[in-house]
Amino acid sequence: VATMSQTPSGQNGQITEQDRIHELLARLAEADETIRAIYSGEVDAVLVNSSTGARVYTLEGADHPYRVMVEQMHEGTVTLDPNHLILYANPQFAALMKMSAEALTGSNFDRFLPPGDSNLFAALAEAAALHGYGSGEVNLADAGGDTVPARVSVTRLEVAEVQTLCVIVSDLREQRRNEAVVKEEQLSRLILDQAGEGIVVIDPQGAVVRCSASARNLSGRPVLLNHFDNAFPLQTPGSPLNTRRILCAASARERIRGREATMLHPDGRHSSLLVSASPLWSESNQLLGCVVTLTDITERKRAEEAQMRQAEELVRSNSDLRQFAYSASHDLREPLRQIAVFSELLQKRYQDTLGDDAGSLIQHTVDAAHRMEQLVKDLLTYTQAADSPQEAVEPTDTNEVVRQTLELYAAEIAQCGARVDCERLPVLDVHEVHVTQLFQNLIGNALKYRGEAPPLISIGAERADGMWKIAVADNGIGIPPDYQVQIFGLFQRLHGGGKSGSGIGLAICQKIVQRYGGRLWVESEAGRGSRFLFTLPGPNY
Amino acid sequence: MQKLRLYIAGSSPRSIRAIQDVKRVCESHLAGRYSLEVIDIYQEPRRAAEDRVVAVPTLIRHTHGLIRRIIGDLSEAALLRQGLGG
Repeated sequence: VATMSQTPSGQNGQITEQDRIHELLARLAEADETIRAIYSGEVDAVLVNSSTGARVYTLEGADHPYRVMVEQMHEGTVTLDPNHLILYANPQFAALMKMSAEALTGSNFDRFLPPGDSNLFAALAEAAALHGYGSGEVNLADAGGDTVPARVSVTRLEVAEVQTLCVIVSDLREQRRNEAVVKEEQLSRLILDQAGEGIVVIDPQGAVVRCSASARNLSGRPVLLNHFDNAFPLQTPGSPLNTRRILCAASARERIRGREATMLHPDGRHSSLLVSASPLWSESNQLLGCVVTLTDITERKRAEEAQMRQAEELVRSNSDLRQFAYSASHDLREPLRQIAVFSELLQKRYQDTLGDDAGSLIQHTVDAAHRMEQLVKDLLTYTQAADSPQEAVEPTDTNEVVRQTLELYAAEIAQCGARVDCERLPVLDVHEVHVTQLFQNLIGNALKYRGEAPPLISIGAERADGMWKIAVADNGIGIPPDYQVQIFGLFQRLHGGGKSGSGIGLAICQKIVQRYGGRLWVESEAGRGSRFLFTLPGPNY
Repeated sequence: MQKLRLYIAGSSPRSIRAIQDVKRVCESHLAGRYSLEVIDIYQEPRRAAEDRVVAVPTLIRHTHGLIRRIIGDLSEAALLRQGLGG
C-alpha cells in the first residue's frame, strides 16, 4: 500500500517525457492508494484545499474524544449562533445554570446575563468576531436568579460557512470563596493584632493556637502552641482559674466573665488581669476550643487604690477640720458673749463717770463683739451645712418653704414695698432645712441688696438635665462680672459696710447645692438686678 | 537517517493508533537512525496541503531523495511490509 515518487525537480534539471510519465504514474498510484484507503475505511479525516483555505473533514468517530472531553470537562461550554442562540450546551454549563441541557438548547444565552453584564458579554462576543477571541470575568445569573461569577472565553468558530461562537464558562465561585476565606483570615489576624486586650484561642487540649500581639507582650513567655497554663500562670484568691477550669466551663457551654487574677511574670513582677473566656463550638456540636481575653488592669488597679487612699484621707482630714471648726466656734462663743455682757455692764454702770468718749469706745466694743458673735454663729452653720441630717431625705414642697420664708420677711417686705412673684414650684428630694436655708439666703439677699426702686422678686422653676433648675431674680443693685464667682466664697462681701451680714450666706447655699449634686451660679449686670440659679434633684411633675 | 513525517487528525482513534504503531516500529527497528515529526492537520492544515496530504493518517518517508507515502493502514504489519523497518 505504498507509493513512490521522485522529487519534482528531477535529477539534472532535464525533464524528459519518460520522467514525466513516470511521475504521473506515481501520482496516479498515490491517488489510487488514497481512494482505496478512504473506501476501505482506513482513514478518518480528509483534507480539502478550497479557495478559502484548507479544511479538515472528520469522518465518523474521529471527533468522539473531543466530544467526550467537552462533555466531561470541568468548564461549562456552549456554542452560540451570532444572535446568542444556544446551539449546544455541555452538562456542566447546564448544572451551573441549574437547568437541563435539553431545555438550554434553542434558548438565548442572554437570559443568563444580568443587565449590568450583558454589555460586557456583548463586548467579548464582538472581540471574538473581530479578533477571534475575547475573554473576561462576567457575572451570570442562574435559573434560580443566583449570581455565578465566571470567567468567560469566547472564540469565533466557522463551521461550513456558518458563524458560531464557542463560549467556555469557568465557575469562579470557589475561587471567590477561597479569596473570601483568605481575606477573612487576614481580617481576623488584623483584629487580633490591633486589639488592645490580649486575645488567645486555645484548643480542647489547652494549647494556644492563636494569639494576639498584646497577649504575646503580656505573657513574656513563648505563647503559640504552648500550654495556656505555662504561657499565662494565673493565680486567683478563690477557685483556681486554669485551662482545666476554662475548658470545663466551655464544655458546659458556660462563659467566664471578667474574673480577676494575678499573673506572675518571668522577671518576678505581678500583673493584675481580668480574664474572660467563651467556648467555640462547631456547627456539628464539637468543642473546638476557647477564646480567652486577658485585660491588663494593673495600672487601673493601682490608680484605683491610690484614688481610694486619697479619698479616705480627704474624708479624714475633712472630718478633722469640721470638728475643729465646730469646737472652735462653739468654744469662742462663750468668751465672746462675756465680752459683750461685761462691756454692756461697764457702759450701764460707769457711763456718767467715764464721759462721752469712753462711752462711744465701749459702744464700739459691744458692737464688735455682737458682730463677731454673728460671724461665729454663721461659721457654725456653714460647717454644719455639709453635715446632713441623719434621717433619709423626705421630699420637700418648695412652695411651702417659699411661703414660710416670705412670712419670715413679711415686715421687711411691707416696709420697702417689695413685690414677690412666685410660679408653681416643684417638690425636691432635698432636706427641708436645706431648702429653707437656700430661700432664706437668696430672698434675704434680694431684699437686702435692693436698688432705688421697690424690690421686684420673681421665683420660677424649669426642668433641666433630669433636675430642677430654680431661679430667684431681683431688680437690685446687681453684681459686676468680676465678682460673680467670688461671692460664693467664705466671708466674701461685696458691698462694704453698707449692708449687714457675715458674707457667708452664699457659701452655705453653694455647699448645700453641691451636696445634692447640683450647681449654683449667678447671672447679673451691675445696676440691673441679679438672677441666682441652682439645680437640685426632684421628681418630674 | 530516515526523516519521517506523520500526519494525524487530532486524537481520532486511527490517529492515536498510528502514533503508537509508528513509534513502536521505529524504536524497535530504527532506534537512533530516525527523526519523527507528528503533524496535526487541525493545527497545521497548511503543511498538510504543502505535502499534498489528502487523507489522514499518512506517513511520509524521505529516503535517498525519494518520497514514500503510507496512507490509511499504519498497523505494525503494514509498516513492516512497506519496508519501514529496514
